[in-house]
Amino acid sequence: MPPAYQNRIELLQGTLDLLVLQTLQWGPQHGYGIAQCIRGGSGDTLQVETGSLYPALHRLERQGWIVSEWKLTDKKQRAKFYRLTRAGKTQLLRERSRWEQLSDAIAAILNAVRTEGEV
Amino acid sequence: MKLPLWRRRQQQDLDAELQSHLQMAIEDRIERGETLEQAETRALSEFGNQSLVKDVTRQTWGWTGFDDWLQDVHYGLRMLRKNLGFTVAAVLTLALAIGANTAVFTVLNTIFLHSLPVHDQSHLVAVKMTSASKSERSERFLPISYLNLKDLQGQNRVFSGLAGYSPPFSLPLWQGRSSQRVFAEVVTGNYFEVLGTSPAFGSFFASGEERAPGANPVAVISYGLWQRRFGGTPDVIGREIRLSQATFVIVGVAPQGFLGVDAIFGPDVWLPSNMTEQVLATAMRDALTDRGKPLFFGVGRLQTGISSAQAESDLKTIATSLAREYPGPNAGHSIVLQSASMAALGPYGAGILFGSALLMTLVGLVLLIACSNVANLLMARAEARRHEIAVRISMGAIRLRLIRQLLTESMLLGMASGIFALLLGYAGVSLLSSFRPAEYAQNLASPKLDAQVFVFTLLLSLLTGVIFGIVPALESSRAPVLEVLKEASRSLAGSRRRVSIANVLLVGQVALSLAALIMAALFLRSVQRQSTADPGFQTHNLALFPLNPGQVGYDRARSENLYRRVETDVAALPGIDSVSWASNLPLWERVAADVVIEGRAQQRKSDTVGSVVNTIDLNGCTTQEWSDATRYLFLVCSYGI
Repeated sequence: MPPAYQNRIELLQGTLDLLVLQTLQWGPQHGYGIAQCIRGGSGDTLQVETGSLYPALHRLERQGWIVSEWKLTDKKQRAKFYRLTRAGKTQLLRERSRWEQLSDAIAAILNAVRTEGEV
Repeated sequence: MKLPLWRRRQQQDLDAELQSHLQMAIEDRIERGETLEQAETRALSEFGNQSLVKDVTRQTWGWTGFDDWLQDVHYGLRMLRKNLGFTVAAVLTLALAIGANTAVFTVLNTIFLHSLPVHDQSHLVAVKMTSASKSERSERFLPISYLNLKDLQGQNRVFSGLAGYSPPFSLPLWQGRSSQRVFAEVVTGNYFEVLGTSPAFGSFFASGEERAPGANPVAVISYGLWQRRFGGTPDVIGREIRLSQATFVIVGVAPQGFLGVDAIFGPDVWLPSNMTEQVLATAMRDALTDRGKPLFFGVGRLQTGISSAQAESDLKTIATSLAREYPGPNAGHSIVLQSASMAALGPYGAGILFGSALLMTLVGLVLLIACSNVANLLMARAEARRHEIAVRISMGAIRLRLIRQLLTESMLLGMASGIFALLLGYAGVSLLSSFRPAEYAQNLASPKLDAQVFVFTLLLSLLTGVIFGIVPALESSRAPVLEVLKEASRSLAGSRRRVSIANVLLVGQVALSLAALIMAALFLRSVQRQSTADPGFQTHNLALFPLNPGQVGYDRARSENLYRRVETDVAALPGIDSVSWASNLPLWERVAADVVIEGRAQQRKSDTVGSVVNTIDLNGCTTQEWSDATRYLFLVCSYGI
């Protein structure tokens, strides 16, 4: 494995859905594009395995949060584009607030530990 | 084995999607200045295991269990085709064993499990008389005399209908001057109504129409007789047939496969009870008026809400009062009820049950042996498949999935065997049927491979597949992956456990085979000993000829005349050395109840001394003994030695 990939971290379980929905907020995108966006957006830190991405896409589609359509890319290539639905947008808001709660909670715990450690 | 169209579309869509992903990744890399080759290799390695990605994605669709199963079946079939030698050996072994089970089950199914072709069998009970005397070791079931049956019919408060039927007896059915032996039963007028059977053709006896004796010369014939004798033509209704010395008009044809209450032996003709005098042997002609001549077995339909036990106690009360009223014929006798399905097995029901259980056990044992045999073959083959399985595990196959795959394979083997087993079972049933004595084969129940047998064989095949497949599947799915993959050439090291399981299988197999072999040997030996047993007399060059003139109404004088004439005529034939009449044959049981011990007075009928009478050579006997022989007399001839 090239050294550049070594400091990538595995995605926390359950966060991939959030990231996918968030990425699609900016417009329809295909699987490869979504993976690239997440990687680029995280400064090459987050690695999205195809083995996680495609099950997630198909699961989200089954739940009606995204829909898919075969279209041509800018480079005139056929690709399956996913687009956020109205229900998907609501879901994105829900997931975001859950994520914020979670990260606040974790941050609180981590900070609390530090203060206790100092006493 | 193909997936449904929509499933295939979905798969193709996924394939294309992943392919476009790869393509875009490669193009991006080329744009960044990698060579085509480099780009392809890196994109592929970044993508990961393609089939795994497809697998986990497909799992989000649901329905993957079905897809996987189809795949398993497809793969299993391929493996079976690839190892044709193994497949043929296993299928043959199993098919023989399952076939034996199918054949035996078919026969038992016909006898035990097949409900009588009657309406609501659960409410039918058989009514029999017992001699409850203390001197007898076990209860014997006896028929009921006509007058007793009439009283039971009239006085019981538990049956919606109580009918009587005689055991089948033989009669000559005349056609011109020649006759053919048929079996007949006399039944009460309500017999068919109580059973709730409808005729295949015509009508049955009208119930309640108990006319004067001899005034109702009608007959219902069996489906078999209708086909054999009358070619199955509908104009048989109203035709006259001559049975013994009376002429009967055919009014109906019983449904196909209807043997009466009996599940094994059925008559050709049913005659109404008031014709008893016209058809029964001389000694039983007064059966309708003599309370001491038992002729009928009862079959009753319980009223709703009445249990069998309630009915029995009611009938026992009637039997007690009958015994008080008519102590002569009835003292010491009581009534018992039997379930219709038990009564259907006839007087030897218990023996038949035991024999059947034994037979089923034996063929079951044979199947177990075959299973362990095939399991051993599978174990040996698992050794050869270790590499394949190790590769599959390293490719990410889950153990459960592997076991399922291997079990699917063995169940496929089982199913294939099942198909052949049905063919073998059919042949087996024909073979067993051919053992039926030709003289009355058409009166016996004919075993058929029906839906029940089919389901039995199907389930048995699947079960067999699981039984012989489970241990090898568990074992071979446990392959130590690295070890196996590293083995340059297959060595036997590390398979000690496998060998020990194979040993256990082998030991079990030998033990079962030995048990079966010993049983078979014992059977053969006892059959052989019986056929070579020394009866104490010369059995070569003897011919037998049974004769029963009483059956066709010969009285004592005519019978005596006939006996003497036959004896002289036969003795005069060239080659005949000596001729004699006998009332019974050696080794045959013929119970007589008229032996009295001198000095010990007989007070009740139940004091009778049971004995077997065997009169050899009636030449010097009195006429009393001649006429007592109400059944057959046997003409024994010894010829040229």
